[in-house]
Amino acid sequence: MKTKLNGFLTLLLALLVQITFAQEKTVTGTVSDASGPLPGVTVIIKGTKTGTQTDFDGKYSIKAATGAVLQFSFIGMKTVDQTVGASNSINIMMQEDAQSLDEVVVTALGIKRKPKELSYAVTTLKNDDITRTKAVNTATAMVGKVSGLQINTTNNGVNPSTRVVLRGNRSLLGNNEALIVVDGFPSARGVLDRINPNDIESVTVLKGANASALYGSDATNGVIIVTTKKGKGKLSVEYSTTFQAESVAYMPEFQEKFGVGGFPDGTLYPLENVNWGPAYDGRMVDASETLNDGSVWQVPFTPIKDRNKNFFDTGSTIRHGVTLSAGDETGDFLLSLDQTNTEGVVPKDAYNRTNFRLKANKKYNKLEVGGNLSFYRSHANLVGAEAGRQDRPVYWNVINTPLHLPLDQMKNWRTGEFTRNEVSFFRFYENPYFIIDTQREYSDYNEFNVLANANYEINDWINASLNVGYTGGTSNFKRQYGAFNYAFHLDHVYSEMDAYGAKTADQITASTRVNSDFLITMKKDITPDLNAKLTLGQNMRLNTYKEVNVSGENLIIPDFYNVSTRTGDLVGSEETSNYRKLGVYADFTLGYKQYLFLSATARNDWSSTLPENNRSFFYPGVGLSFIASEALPGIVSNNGLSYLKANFNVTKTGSDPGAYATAGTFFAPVNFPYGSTAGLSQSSRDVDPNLSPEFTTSIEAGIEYGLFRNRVTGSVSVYKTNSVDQIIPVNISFASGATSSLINIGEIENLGMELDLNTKIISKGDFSWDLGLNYSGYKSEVISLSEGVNELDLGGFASAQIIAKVGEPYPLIRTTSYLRDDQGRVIVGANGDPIQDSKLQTQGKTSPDYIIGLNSSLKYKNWNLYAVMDYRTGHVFFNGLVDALEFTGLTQHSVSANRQPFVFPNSSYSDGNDGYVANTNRLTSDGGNDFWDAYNEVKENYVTDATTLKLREVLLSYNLDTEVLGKIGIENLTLGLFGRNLLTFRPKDNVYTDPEFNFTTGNAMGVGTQAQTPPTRQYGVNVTVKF
Amino acid sequence: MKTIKLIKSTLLALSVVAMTVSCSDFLDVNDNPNDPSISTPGLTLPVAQTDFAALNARTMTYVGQFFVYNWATPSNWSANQEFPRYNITTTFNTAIFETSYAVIFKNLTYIENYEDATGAVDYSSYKVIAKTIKGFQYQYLVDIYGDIPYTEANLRGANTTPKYDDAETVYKQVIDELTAAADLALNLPGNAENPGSQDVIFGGDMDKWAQFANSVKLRMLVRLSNTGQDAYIKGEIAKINANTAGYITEDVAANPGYSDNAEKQSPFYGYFRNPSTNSQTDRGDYTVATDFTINYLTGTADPRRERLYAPATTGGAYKGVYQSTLLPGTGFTSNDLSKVGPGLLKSHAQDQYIMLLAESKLLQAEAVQRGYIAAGSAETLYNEAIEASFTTLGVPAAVVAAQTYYAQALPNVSWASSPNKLQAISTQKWIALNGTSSIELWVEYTRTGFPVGLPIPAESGGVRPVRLLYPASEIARNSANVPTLTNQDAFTKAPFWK
Repeated sequence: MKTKLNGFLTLLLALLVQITFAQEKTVTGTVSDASGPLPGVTVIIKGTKTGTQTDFDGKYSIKAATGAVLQFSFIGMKTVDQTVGASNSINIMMQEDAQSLDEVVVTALGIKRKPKELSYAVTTLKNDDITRTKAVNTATAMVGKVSGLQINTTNNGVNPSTRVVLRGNRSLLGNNEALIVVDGFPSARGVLDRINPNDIESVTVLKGANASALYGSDATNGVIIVTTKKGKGKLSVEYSTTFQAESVAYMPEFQEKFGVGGFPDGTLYPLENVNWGPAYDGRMVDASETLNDGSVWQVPFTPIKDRNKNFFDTGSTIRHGVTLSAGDETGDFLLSLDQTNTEGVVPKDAYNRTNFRLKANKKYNKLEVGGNLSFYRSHANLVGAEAGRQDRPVYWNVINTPLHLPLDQMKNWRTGEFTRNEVSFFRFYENPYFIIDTQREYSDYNEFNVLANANYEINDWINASLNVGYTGGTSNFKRQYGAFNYAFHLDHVYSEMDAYGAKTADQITASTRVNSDFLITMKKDITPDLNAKLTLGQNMRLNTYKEVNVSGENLIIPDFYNVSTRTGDLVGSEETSNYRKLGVYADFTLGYKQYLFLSATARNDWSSTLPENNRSFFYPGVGLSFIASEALPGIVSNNGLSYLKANFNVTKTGSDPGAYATAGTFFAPVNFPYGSTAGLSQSSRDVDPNLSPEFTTSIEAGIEYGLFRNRVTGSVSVYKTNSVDQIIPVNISFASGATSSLINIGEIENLGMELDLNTKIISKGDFSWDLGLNYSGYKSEVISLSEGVNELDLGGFASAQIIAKVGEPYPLIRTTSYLRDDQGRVIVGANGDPIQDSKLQTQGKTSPDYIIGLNSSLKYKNWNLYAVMDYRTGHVFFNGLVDALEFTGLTQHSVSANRQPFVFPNSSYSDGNDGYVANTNRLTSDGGNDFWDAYNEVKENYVTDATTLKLREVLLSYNLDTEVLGKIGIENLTLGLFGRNLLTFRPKDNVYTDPEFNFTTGNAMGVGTQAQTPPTRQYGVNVTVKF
Repeated sequence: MKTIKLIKSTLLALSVVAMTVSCSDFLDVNDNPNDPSISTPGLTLPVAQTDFAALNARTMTYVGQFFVYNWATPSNWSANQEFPRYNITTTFNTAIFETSYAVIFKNLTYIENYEDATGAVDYSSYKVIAKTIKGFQYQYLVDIYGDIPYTEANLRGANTTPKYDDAETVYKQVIDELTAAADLALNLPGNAENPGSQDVIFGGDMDKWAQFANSVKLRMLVRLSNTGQDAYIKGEIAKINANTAGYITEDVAANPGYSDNAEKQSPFYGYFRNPSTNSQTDRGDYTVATDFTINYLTGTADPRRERLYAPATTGGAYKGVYQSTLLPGTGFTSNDLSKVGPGLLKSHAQDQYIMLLAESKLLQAEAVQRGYIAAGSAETLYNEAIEASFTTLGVPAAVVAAQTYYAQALPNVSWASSPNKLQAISTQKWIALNGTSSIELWVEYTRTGFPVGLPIPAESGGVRPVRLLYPASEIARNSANVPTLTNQDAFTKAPFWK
């Protein structure tokens, strides 16, 4: 009551003053933005406290004198000043604040700051940047748009997996992925694959550890801050629908010269799965066993064009999204629902998901309370990843079906006269359609996320806020692998696979994550030129995880998948994890005259995963930012520099190990107990009882600039990060009686540079062309590992490993290889065959030297053409897929010499006196199966340049005329045609697949296998209507 | 008014902080609920024993069988190509080295070092068992790799890069350990805990452990036959005689309770057969007989042929094939050939052999023949060995059948008809240990060169390997210590005792 009275008094006083000094009149008008009238806009007479707000229709009315300046302001819009002239009507069109260099960015803990205060590199993507081509997965939609950010789609499929890394890998074996924060809540990594892109207002990328010391150890790898939309303006309803198709973009190259058979002399065996036989010649060959009545199915011995490619379907995604929102200065809400149904390129693969969000916020005087509730559920029904007799992906079965067989006529493995399992071609591996039909995995995932925040203005310079969030996720997984049986056996068969029983497995997981931050923020102008800001905070984190697995084999009732109806033991396991952390932190910024800013951060964490005496760790940071263009206004000109900022920052960040990692343990081996004989084995990992936290120190310097009235803007950042005392299970000599030892070791250094450049190339009337370019280059070096350890094995296979090596970049790929002479030629033996090296040799690094992203937006009237490309180079990739191709005799190189002995390219042989002579005459011992099988043991043959140039996104959209639409009650209608991953350019030696694919989302990057289906492209159409 | 509000809010804020921080045990949630932090020798012993049995039953037997030409690969499989090519690299069957240390010795060392803090219980029985099994396995590591980590091995984090010790020195230290193990087994303290059924090899019968230690020791001593150390050998045999436990009197085998379940089948059996359905595994399909061995057994009218090999699925003949990756596609598929036989694959729950009585008898026969053992008849021991082999393999009316067999006037069958007794002993060992202790056959071939005429695959370099290369893991993780070898060394750098 008191406040209101004060207001009235002020108003009265103001009126009195106005009446005394000027002729006053009533000014009216409408304030609108691009989408229509804008309610809740604050209108004040500049220099006074006189003011009003626009009503629900954006209308306002205020008494003001001619010559007075009306100031219109609204969150997220540029403030407009308008002098009252002769007219009594002033209509204002407000512009979004997005492009302004003075925009506010959301930094750590939701603290909104002006970019000029920041001493580190930040990039913000707006909703539009992410949702233009309607990607279901937010992570995939960020590729190519932010320097320093590398996102790899490691697998195809209806629900692709991604790996998100900022500024390269720092940790050898630990997590290198960026922390994802949604509305202030540090979330699990997968949230970026799950969140509804339509809900996102902006994504701010804090690239370095510098930016993020306030989030604690999770933020060592940079932070991606997702801010969801807030209801704004009058009540609006937006409906968006998308239809998208997905098809295989390209297949590995197959040889189409030679068909089935081969032993030992190119004999044709029609029911073989390997293609070491004679050249295709169109003769009729058996495509099934011969039935007891003598009948047999025959097909021409001719490869069928695109046979393997056509095994894959055209997938489809149908998506509907509705968003209901409204808001003004005192409160807002947003309600959204999104449903996506996907059918994959692998036959019968299906996926659907639902996203729901309710976000609301209300202001009561000095108290603001908000809540954000989101729900996510997904269901996937996929072919088993490791299915059938040999636990292989279905792609293997397809590749093992020779190219002359019409797979599309072989779908009936149950009853087909010549295609049923008892008689069909498939003698060694199952019919791919049998795998598709019977080997299924179902998974459901549900996630609830509840965020609550309260903010209280204690006085005009102290603010307290509390942010508490909870995420609970549960998953259900069910494997149903059908049996492989024979109803009868033929009298004579070429071969016959053994039958096997049905099996099932169930997995249930539950995870929770609680995070709370309590902050006190103080702002004080020490002198008019010197402003100080201090944030003090306390953080608490609790994570829990529980997993229970049961499985049973040889199920006794057909098509009934319950572990109870099995023979043999029930197999089961459980896993529990509990993690807690407390932290206190401070963030202090001192600004001088709005052009010089000094900031300092500090944090202390106490982690449950460290030994009690080493539990506490402290890490500070300092930064400086200088806005030259404001300090020295003389350097600014319309035809030259318009903005210039320089910044420098040094930050240290600490990290803790995973739960339970610090104590040595025993475990019950999988084969125990045998009846009453129980057993416990010592762990293969030895643990240093004195583990200390690991620390990363980042130094960063950068400039940001604007040229030609900010038509050209850009930034340059350079950084150096050093991670020391990494907590790593180093692989140790097996002879020590353990295979790894968890210790603090080593140092990794990353040096990098990032460039961003955005230009408005053309901006004339209806036509505009914006071009954005970003470059991220980085170099990593392993400075040291542990005592006596020069190399560290990170994963992969025995013959193709991903390693870290002292003095070298990280990670490297090391494979079986050939002996080479001093000129790098492959040494062949007396028999002309290349000699395999007894040691594995390093082939190159698997992280790129640099990534360039390019995006272009052309606008003409209501049309918009938008495209994003990215280019990565300087790294290599191991095509493990070739194992399958070489085995089946399908590689193109295996026919390069027409399966005849040949001179091994770029080879030499010993001259008997420690020298080598070029080999021009020694033919290999063989040119068929035997040679190429041996060739397959040398994996260096499959390490290729991983360079790619990808056209990631293309969009052509049309906005219908608002005036016409207004008449039928529609505010906005957009139509769009889009495509993703439409084109990929690869170097000639990569005839296999997308080097972005990987067998894991972990650190062992650079290894693809046949578990990843061929790369796909997506294209579709979208309609968005706003009422 | 304002001040009161400020104080109130600050208090509220502080109480939130206090609520979380004040619970001093808030962070004490790092006790692992998934894996226990303690064990006992009794709980860890069966794990070490079953892992030991499995390594010998699987990898070591498989490698041995191929190197002594008892098994081959059919035309319809691309598996096993490293065998006919003798492609010995640093990734070739590294489990022999790696599993020995990081799986078997890991747990045996834990057992060996375990002491009861109160002193109430003595764990000497466990130490005997740990030392004996370690002796068995170290012997093969030296036989296969030469110099190996020994004195600095198995210290886990305390020494992550153990040095390599001289092969012969290790051999002799192991021999001393076996002597000590047998003595301790026969002189246990009164409060020694007996492992009972947790000992899945002898059920806690410590006299049998003494016999087993003696038998392993004899094998090592006989291995030194070419080194000109007869005095040393005889001296060590005198120590064996002194403890009076003698040698093993039955096949040594492990059985923790193998059953028809995934992961729980007898390890050799489970290599070739699936649980529940009893269908053959892939390996069961691509592991077939060689022509040489089938012909040899057929030529000597050896009824063990039907036990060691199965009749071909197609046609029912006993048929083998040469070791090659270039077999014709017709006539040499897995179903055209003999696979692993019923004398080796009996049941899911079959005992896993570790050392056959036949081997012990043949070792004694050789020791007698060479004059290392003064008492006894080499011929009797030889004949007993053949009878034991027939029995183990389940030949019907085994003893009678064995007698009929060795009564044939054939060299290396009948003792009397054998001009070279040592050749007869080694040749019989090659038959008796087929599929059970096959790694021993390869090592013995390196020592003796028997059996004569054992083929070498055409696609190899023409020389049989005499050793394996150190695993790639050692080259990567222990580079300062691991001796440098080339691929060719696998064929030329013979063990010290050759």
